[in-house]
Amino acid sequence: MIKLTNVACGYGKRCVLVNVNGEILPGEIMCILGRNGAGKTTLFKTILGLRMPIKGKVTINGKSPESYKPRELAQLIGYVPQNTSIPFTLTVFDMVMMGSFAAHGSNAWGMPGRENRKRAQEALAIAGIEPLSTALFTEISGGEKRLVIIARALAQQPLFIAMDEPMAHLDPGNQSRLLQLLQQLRELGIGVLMNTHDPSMVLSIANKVMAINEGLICAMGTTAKVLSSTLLSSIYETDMQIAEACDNTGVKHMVCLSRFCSPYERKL
Amino acid sequence: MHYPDSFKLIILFIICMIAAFVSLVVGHVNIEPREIMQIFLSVIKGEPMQDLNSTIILSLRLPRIAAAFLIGGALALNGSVYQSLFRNPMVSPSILGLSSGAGFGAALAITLGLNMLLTYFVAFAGGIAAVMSVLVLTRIGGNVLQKNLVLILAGMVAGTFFSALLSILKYLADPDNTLPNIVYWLMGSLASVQTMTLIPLAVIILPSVMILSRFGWQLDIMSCGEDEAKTLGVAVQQVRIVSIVLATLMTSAAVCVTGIIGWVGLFIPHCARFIMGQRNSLLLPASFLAGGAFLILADCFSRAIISTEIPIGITTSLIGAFFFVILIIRIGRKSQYD
Repeated sequence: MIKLTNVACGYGKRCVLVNVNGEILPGEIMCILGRNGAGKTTLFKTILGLRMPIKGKVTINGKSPESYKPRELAQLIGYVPQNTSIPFTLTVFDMVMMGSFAAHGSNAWGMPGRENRKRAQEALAIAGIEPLSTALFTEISGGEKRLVIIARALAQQPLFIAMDEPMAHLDPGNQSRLLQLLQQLRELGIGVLMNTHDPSMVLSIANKVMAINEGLICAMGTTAKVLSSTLLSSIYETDMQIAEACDNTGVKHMVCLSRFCSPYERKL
Repeated sequence: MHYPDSFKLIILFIICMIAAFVSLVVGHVNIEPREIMQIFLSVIKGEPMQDLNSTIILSLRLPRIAAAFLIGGALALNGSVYQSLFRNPMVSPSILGLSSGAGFGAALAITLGLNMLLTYFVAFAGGIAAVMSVLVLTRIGGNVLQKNLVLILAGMVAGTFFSALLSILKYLADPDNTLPNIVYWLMGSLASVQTMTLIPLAVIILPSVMILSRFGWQLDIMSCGEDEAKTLGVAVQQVRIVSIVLATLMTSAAVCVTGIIGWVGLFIPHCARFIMGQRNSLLLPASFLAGGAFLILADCFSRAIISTEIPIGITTSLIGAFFFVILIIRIGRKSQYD
């Protein structure tokens, strides 16, 4: 379980977020909602042990992230950052295999071994990007890179995965595949903590929501209870509405409508 | 055609052997390959040898070739390690001011009139001092040792500082005796290598190569950035410190024996990448072998091309500059089609 108790996080002595409380269990999907610059990534880095909390306590399975050895921590929580760049041309398979270092380390020569390769192959299959395995990471699209980094986190086989804007750069097809993947992770008992600007995604997949506004947690709880048109409108300072919509088969879905008032629309 | 990686490493090793053999044959005194084989057979049989050719081979060329292999390998491997560590393919082992520190140390020893052994020692200490000052500077800068930018900036400070001290020594040095010696040392040469020099070189370089080669995959992971490497389970701080310490020891050991040999640590890693690909677990041993082979041949060229020996630093710089012209053309052509 990841538990946050009165956490204040930020840069140096400057707090970006204060009084953050909450917990996430394996098999849960928690979404963090907030405007750009609200401190979502900073909170992620604090949970991952990359930054010390200014105040309060973060624990993963009862211990603070700093008290784990790097490989132990990497077996508990994986990370999918917003952007990944490497100055050298490694293949997609090499990138995904990096995730297996946490569980298996390297062989006696300091190289990836058979187990590492097996784990990478499995992660590629789960993420559905096996055909990309020999492609160079620097030469694939932004959306494909995203899936590769998700596969790399899967190769860690962690209890939790923190995903920073996982939907960014993904086309509708890949977004749908990612939603299926998240569902699969939930069934495997992996807890997912992610931040997103897409309320429709939150409505369709998240168990819990943490909403951030002006440096404070303004709402926290199950998606059905917490997520409302008023909350979204106040966070993003624009008119947003949650509505019901039916697909072709007649199944109802909750979707979020954002009113975008362009001059062209006004003329109509 | 795709060749297995182990096959490529074996080919590189064979190239090293061929380079070493060519270097044994070529010189001001040309010795026939058959005679060289006879000398080695006599050594194996334990027969006494007093003739000039066996002395040239066993006491002059062989130690020199072994030193060139170790030093070239060390410089190239350090280049690969630093390029991954600093996530920058244009970084060379001198990034942390080591060459300037070793240069100052050697110049100080020459100015004080110390013997060759003490000159090695003071140059070695100068290189270590420069890198230590970089590490201390980054610590003073608020315990941010993990930040590459701070390390690079501190390296620039140390490099500039020791270069300035070196310039003072050159300015004050006796222009007839001391100054030429300092200048010649700075150009780099393997002429002073003796059999006894090889022992400390091998003791420092070989274990360091073995340890650093084991970090190859972790260095690959670190090329994604510090934060990502940490979340993937790499002990970033530990890998960085061990890599810098070992690379510093190796480069200091190399530079104190030969003087400053530029470009090997910059362009050999690129050649090795071209052959082996970008994975450090293979790149590091490949860089070591390629660097070794290159310096053996560069040394052979330096001592055989004209009647007097050309400082090896000049040879490596000329070849390095030529190589980078090719690299620029290749990059330019590639970007035209992208």
